[in-house]
Amino acid sequence: MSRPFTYIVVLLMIGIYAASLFKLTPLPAYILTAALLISAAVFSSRKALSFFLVSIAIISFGASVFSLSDILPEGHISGFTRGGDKTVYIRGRIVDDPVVKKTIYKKEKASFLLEAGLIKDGDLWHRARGLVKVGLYSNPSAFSYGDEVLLEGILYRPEGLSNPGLFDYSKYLSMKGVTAAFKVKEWFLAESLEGPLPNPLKKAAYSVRHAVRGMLDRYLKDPYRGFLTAILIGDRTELNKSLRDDFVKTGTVHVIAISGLHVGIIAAAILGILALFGVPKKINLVVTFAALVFYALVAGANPPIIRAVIMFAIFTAGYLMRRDNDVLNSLSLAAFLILLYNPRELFNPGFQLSFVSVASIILLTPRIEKALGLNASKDGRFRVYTIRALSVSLAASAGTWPIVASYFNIVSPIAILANLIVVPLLVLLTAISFVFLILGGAIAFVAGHLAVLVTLAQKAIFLVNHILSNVPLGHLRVPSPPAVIIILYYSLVFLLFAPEKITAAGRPIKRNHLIILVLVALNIFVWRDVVCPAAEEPGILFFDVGHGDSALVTLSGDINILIDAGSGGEEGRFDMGRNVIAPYLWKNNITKLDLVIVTHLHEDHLGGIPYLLENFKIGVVVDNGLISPKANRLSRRYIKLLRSEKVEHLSVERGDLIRIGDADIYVLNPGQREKSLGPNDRSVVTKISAPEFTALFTGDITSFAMTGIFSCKDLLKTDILKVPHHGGRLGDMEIVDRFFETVSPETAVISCSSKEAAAGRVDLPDSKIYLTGTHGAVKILALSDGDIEIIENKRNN
Amino acid sequence: MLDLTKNEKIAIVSLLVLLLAGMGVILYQRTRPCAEVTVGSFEFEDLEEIIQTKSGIDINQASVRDFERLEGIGESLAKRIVAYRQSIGRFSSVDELKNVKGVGPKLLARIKDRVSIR
Repeated sequence: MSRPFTYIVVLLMIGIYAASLFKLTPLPAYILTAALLISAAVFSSRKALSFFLVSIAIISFGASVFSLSDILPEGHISGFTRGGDKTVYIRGRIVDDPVVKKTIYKKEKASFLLEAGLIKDGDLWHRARGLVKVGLYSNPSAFSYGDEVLLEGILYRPEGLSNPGLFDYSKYLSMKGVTAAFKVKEWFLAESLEGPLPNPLKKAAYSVRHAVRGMLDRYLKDPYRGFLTAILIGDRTELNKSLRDDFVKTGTVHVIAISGLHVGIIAAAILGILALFGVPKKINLVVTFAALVFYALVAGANPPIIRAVIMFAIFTAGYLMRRDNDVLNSLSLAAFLILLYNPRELFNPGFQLSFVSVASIILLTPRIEKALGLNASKDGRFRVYTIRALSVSLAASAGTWPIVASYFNIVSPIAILANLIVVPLLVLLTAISFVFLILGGAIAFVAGHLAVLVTLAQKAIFLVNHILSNVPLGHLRVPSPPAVIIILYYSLVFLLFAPEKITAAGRPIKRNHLIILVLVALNIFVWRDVVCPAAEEPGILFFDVGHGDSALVTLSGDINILIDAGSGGEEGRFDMGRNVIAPYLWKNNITKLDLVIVTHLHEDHLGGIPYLLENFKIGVVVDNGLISPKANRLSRRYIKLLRSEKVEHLSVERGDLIRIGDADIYVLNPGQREKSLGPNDRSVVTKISAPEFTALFTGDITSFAMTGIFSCKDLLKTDILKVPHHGGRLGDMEIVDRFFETVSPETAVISCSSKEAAAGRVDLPDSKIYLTGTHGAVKILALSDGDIEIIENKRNN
Repeated sequence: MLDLTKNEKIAIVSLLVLLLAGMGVILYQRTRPCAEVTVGSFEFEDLEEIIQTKSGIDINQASVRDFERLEGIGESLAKRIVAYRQSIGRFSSVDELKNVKGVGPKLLARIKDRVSIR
């Protein structure tokens, strides 16, 4: 077998995936693996049988590796997270490079991973182990890798937002082995804790990392500083978000993740320089490898860079032992090692993209080159280069688009062209940046000049990218393709590009028939969507946007109404429009918002709107007409975008009746009187009366505005109530209670953060109450028999 | 490169064309215009009188946030009012608000019917 590791790693992945579906205990799986291997040895004379047994053994091994990673050891720190708001003490060691970041409130916050050693919960110190994600505000730059600290604060289970089908921060952390988080009140440096000492190599790597960061902070401005920090040391926290969007749209976002590209550039540079000094090739390779390992540590050791370094190591070893090595086999070995270390990486989009793209480049490029008529011995150099580059670009796109479409809901045909331009520019930029770092670090007066050059190179890349990101049909937002389409597509690619050997062994005609069969199946699935498109059921989805409001109302006849969009709107703030609402809409094939209602100008309601204005087709935007561009930066941006995006804009007040489809939307607030109250009481309050249900959206009103809304008393009785002002600080409770009584909703939803939910919210004794802070996103479906069905998107605690 | 027979070629090409056509239709469907929105009006009662008698926050109970809700009172002024209230114990009349630095007769007139003592 020429590619043993490819065979092994594919089976291992199947095992890991299977184990992720069921809950297994590792011991029986290990015993099964051993038993299968022994029987394979026993039946070694019967080749087919023993081959089969070994295959099953590897799958079972994959399952055992995964299930073992599922078990937390005794005394694991996450066992102590059930304490609620109790103050505990933890002693431990910092095991990564602490990141200090300015928050939107201009406070500095440090975050790092701590390997716990001891925990004091109550009166006793316990031994503990496991990683804790620590966040800290007091004197945040006082930490570095390897420090031992004693922390006082609150230990909790990390919690992200919980929305259907969307990114889950706590799941992401647990994939990285982190299941506990800590909010620090006080901290002390501790001395000599028993346990593993910090790794001196890592310490050195992090000091290089800091030196690089220092250079970038000193000589570059944002967004150039943030971009270079990302591509040089792998820290993407300060990368400008709209800049990143451009890279996503043109399908070139892979250049921002440190990967084979960077490793290749560094390897080429070191190999070249050492060869210039006449260093023998063997020594040269070993030195280069050592340098790459060090760089991997500097850059934060993510799967793509580890993959590249492992592949380089295998290449070096092969060269030293005078063995030819197969690239696909080395790639598979790299995947095998990474999965053995952490099987959960299999579910990491970064891991998947990194390996699938390299595999498709290896497998597909030669075939595409041939199809494009490349003749390396005859053609001119320029032609050869162009066809090669185009083939690589095509191969990578052909292999990765289903993954990109599944996770990021985008398909970028422009990527084939964009990569041809952006990748060479990025190689150039990386090269200049290294010169800037090394030369500029040594000679201060050169640094300033080189920084100008680095900035210019980035400007060029950003400009090209921005232009390409605006090409019509250059990128399309798509719903996540169903698994069956993805499988059919990959089998088609496999069949089209199957190496000749495989087809030569069987009958080639059969393969062509298979191609036809797959094409027929693809046609069936595509045309099924054309003939009977899946329509969303009428209902309401209350997004989980932490502290804030956002609800999507779906009406029959494919009408979508969005009421508020959570927080966001400024760089450095988590944007619910970008991170929650837009991905949900794309994923569910919602391409337009017929009506957007902005209740009032506060950031936790208006924040996500600007991103949606920029990225969605929007019919009409409705607000109270009192959002002045002078109020704050966010309002200014909103008003400006309404104009520049040419969206129809309506100001409404009490007494206005909006008709859309079969639904009547009554505007109950603000009236003349409420318009002179504070922003909350000026909220646009709407009663949506659809054939299937009625719903009352109350923004952030308090008892002041409620008094006025009683003038529409006959309209107040409603099925579903969005409780005002996140369920707290409602003003005069006498009026509030009377308001709730008049509305008397069957279902009430409170849109609040988990912290607010834990602190207690208002109660409506006669209604079923859902809190986004405890239940996650809440979806209410109107059933055809007049009933409603409620789907909670349960948080996983 | 696939060694296709003539029939296979015809089948594959027509299937591909059909597939692309299907995707084209889906793309076209996505360009549907937004639903029409029309605006009319509905009748509601005039409850202005009830509001006049029942409205207003209790200045002896109100928090900084409550004061902030009033037109013309910002965070710092709201804090000063609460601090003043703490220093005197409680207000005995709405007019006492004038003793707080920053509350002039103009502001008082504007907020007068939104505050009360219960």
